[in-house]
Amino acid sequence: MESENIVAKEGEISYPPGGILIWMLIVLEIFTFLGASLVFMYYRGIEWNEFNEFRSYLNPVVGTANTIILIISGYFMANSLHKLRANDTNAASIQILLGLLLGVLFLVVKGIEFYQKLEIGIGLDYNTFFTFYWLMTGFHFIHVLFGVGLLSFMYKAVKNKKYNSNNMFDVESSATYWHMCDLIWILIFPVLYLI
Amino acid sequence: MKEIRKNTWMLIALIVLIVLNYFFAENQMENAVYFIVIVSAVKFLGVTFQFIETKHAHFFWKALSVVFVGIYLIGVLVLY
Repeated sequence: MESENIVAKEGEISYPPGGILIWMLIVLEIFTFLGASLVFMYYRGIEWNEFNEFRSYLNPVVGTANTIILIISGYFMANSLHKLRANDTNAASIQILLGLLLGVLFLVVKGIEFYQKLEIGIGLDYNTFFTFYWLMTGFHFIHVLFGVGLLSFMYKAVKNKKYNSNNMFDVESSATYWHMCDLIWILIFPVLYLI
Repeated sequence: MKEIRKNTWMLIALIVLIVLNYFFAENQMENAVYFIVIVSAVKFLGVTFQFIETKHAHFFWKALSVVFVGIYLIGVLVLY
């Protein structure tokens, strides 16, 4: 059975969870955002006072709430794979839907935050701090937006029973992509909002 | 299911860490940056190993996840 093959492949270097291609993407993305976080910290050292002042323009409560929203969303996606492995496609689709809705909630909260910044004239070229803010959170926003589209497609497909325990590679890859959005946020949130 | 129960415990732990991170940052405690960055590293590994199930993957992918976290930890703390 295909599922047995997948289990057998687990633990092989060429078969990370979700497949090798999605992990190539993860490695590139994490290095990009990791690099951005470190360059941000470097400039923070140069413009210490300015960065501390402008950090107070960000709301850490909203950032923390969004972190929790994204983590819970990832939890539902992780559970959806276990439900699908048990061939419980209805439960799996519900878990994906919950993850998807929380992803949308993240985008709404982030969208409001972006709008509030733009409303008072804080754009990409406002200062160094906000150039980093817009680039890092903006690119992350686009990743989540793409992820929401992907989960919408997976939700429909799983609900229509196009995937099952023997055929769930696409769902696994999509879930891994979604977790990548979690990981990126885990890296950029503390340096922008907390430190 | 056993794995879903593990996911739930991991979720609870992650939420507690996220909230603790917020309070450490808001109270501007001495050396809060160390706590914040270490907690973020733990969150990263929690998501990678439990939610992405890297715990079942080849050693290379586990090591790569730890390397990412190591670069982040050292980089942020050195540059702070």
